[in-house]
Amino acid sequence: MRVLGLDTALGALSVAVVEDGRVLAAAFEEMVRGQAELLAPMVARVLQDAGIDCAALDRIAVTTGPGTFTGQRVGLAFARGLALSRDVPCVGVTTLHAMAHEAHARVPGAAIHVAASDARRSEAYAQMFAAHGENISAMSAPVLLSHDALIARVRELLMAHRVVVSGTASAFIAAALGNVPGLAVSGITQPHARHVALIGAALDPATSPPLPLYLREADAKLPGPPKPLPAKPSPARRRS
Amino acid sequence: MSAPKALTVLGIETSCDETAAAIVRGHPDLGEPAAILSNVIAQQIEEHAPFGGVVPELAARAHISHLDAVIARALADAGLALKDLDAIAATAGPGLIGGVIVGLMTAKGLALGAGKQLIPVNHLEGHALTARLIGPCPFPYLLLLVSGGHSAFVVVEGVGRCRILGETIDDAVGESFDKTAKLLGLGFPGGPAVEELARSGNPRAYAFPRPLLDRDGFDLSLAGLKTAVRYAAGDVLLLTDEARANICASFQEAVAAILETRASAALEHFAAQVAPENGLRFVVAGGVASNSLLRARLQAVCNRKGANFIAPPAKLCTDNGAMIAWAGLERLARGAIPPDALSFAPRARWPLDEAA
Repeated sequence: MRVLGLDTALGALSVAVVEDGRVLAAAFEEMVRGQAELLAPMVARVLQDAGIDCAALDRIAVTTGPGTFTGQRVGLAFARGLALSRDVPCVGVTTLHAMAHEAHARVPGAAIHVAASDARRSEAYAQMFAAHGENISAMSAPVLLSHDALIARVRELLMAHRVVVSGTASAFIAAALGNVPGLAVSGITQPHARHVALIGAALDPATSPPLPLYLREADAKLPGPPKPLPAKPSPARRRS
Repeated sequence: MSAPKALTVLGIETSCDETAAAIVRGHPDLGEPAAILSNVIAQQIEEHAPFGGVVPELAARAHISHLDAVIARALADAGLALKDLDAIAATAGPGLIGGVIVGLMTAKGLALGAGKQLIPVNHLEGHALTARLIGPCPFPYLLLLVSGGHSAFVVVEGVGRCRILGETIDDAVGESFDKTAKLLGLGFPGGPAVEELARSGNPRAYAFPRPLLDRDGFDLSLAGLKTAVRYAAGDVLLLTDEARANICASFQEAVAAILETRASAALEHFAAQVAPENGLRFVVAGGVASNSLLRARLQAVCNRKGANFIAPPAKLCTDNGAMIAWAGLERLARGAIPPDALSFAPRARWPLDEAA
């Protein structure tokens, strides 16, 4: 199966083509903005590097979040449009799963992977994964935690397990916990499309739809009662 | 010379609170109206109604949830597959950026996957060219674009060639309708609600101001009118139904008076300065152009000035995919497509008189 993987949900842009677990071509670039402009050309380039065209794709895999709302939708909209045009399934992978998956491939010996992205406002998006041999499986859904709660959770896990942390929040977790035995930092801070594709190849499209994962509500306030009128500049003119 | 071949274009529109896709077939040089093969519009009224206006993040969330199904439906309604298209056009701005991104990125995915030309379209050019979708309307013509986000008098000289004579210096006309409706508790969207209630009101009950009309030029100002409505309404909870209707009618009358005065002056200017050899045409477009009182009053101005009044049907005045498909088709027919369309950046701001 040939899978195109995409990620634009956090602070990077990446594209990869994977065939039966083998990476045919990939590109990765860290960037805070600009993914909307660079995604389609990067996909065209990676397909060319892989020596295939869109018609050869069997599936699209894309990160659903958590991430920046705009970044999530850049990748998801493109992936869904591409999947519609080729009539192939499109599956969603969390950004945190992609990072933990890469960490597991790179850092041996972890019992538990914690992937955590800084979400500003002293909060982080976090998800824990348990390692079984070459694979990892999610222990929970992604959640939004305060920095303090996340640090406490990792400290608790460290009492019984070797823990590897990934994501932009790993730096402050490591700083807060100091030189604790059993804790390792993978150094991975962004998802890579290669891992999005590798994970996506095994997912069931029916249970992993390409829907944005929002852990925060839209900032919208319901209107309150009418505001009091300021002093009138002049009496309301009324005819008839 | 042989007749030009009709082109078939898919248009995607997501710049505000309508998720829309349509397929249009035709050619600007064929001398016959284009065929709208399908025109699917999913409105988001329920999402935004509790907030009394469009909430950008909620709009973006609704667009991503529905757009691919809306596109699939537009293709199915037209009985076409993507391979039957000549190009895929999408609004690339201006508008609420979250929605614009969803529409443009979906179009990029479709275009790359189907091997079709992508045409990024200025939403305002979509409105500006709608008159040519429904029938013959040679350039140049005078356009009054009135919507929730824009209000301007524009000389449309050609595809990608628009000159703004004047525009609102504060609120858009549609925005002033929405704010009046919100103030009076008429719900969202406000334009149709104000128009409906105004039918039973007295347009002369309140002498609302006509801001800026003491000055020359073609600019508009609506903010002072909105404030006057607020003072006239006073304590909204104490308003009788009759008073509400009178406020709506008087407000709408003030807007009509402002627009007809400016339209009359703009037409005189257009006739004198541009002096089109093929007759005077005055086109109204944008969501507010579906207001029947405003249409009637602008029609009357055109009758007095000897201009041909062209107003697209209401369904093509509010946001829709057909106008985006047509604007894309006009560009495709002329080869006026930006290079590297697949890397085109979505734009929150994109004035009509700014080259693509």
